[in-house]
Amino acid sequence: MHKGQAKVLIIDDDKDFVEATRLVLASGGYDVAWAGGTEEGMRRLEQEKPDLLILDMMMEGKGAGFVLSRRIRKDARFKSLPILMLTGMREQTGFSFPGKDKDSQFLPVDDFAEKPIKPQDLLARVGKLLEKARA
Amino acid sequence: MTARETAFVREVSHALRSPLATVESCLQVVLDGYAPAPEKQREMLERAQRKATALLRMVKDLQDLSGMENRGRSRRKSALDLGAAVGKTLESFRAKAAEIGVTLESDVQEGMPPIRMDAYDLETLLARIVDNAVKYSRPGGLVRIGASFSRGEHQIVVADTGIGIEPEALKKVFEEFFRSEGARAFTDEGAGLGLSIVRRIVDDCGGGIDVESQLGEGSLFRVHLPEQVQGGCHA
Repeated sequence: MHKGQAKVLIIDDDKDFVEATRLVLASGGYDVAWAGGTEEGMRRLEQEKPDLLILDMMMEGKGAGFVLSRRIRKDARFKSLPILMLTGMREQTGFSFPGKDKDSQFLPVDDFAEKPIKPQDLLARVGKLLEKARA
Repeated sequence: MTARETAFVREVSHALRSPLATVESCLQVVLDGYAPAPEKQREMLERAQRKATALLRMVKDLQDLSGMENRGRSRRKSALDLGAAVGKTLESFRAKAAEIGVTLESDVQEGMPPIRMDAYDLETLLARIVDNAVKYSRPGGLVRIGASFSRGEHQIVVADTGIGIEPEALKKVFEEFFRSEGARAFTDEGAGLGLSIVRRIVDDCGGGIDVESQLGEGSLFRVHLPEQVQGGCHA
């Protein structure tokens, strides 16, 4: 799969943040789809069949992204879908990055980063996750 | 800090940090050249500006909340004309309502006795409820504010033909930082503090507030403030 054909779904209820993220991903040649909430997110996952998911943790006023990540992982169709979780709450959740002290059972995502994320950092993380998924 | 204070600081941090992160992201894509077209650059700057405006409003809400705590013992109660206060509130929202295409109407009972409470509290209470009603209205909508006095109570009713509130969210609308799913989808504006501020004022006055709503049809908020109460904001 060529990077240019990879599709990224963003599930985030902040449409301004999504647009900024979309521009960065588009510059990297990715197709980008968006859902503004958890239920719409599940529908878009089924329709779009993305290669990677960028998921906001603190949606709908609470940690709806966290709950959704667990729901997605329980679904056999999305078991191996790479998930990059973004949040503005890392220092309050105590979560860290994969391979360190993040509990993959508790928070079943492949990577975890704080908002705002630098464009180059976002592209590097997305590229790395897709590469890993292809391997 | 108490557990409640810690939870409050956590909520405030998140409420401020998320839009700030978006402001930075929108500016960054422009500065780093991810939005080469001038019209796209302008759009991203406008998005950042809208978020900054929302942040300022949020800070104002927080100041109101904190001001209520600090002014608890120093409120100056006076005899106020509720009808005049309603008229003043509607005038202050006239421009915003016209911009959206919403009609404002009032129905004020003649000859009501004065309401005894802190003038800033009354102004804040009315402004917050009307702001909410206008904010969640669609073009062509109607916001109606009524004020009356009966059986020893002043009653303020604000009804709108806006987006309404989901039944499961009705119990939570007065909680700090709560915004229903429909409210979030409708507008980014607001941190979920306005109605909690109203609730605090009403509670301090020994009054009550309730809400009825039909999703997609509109909402009705009813405040009652007893004429004679112990302590609180009435003399």
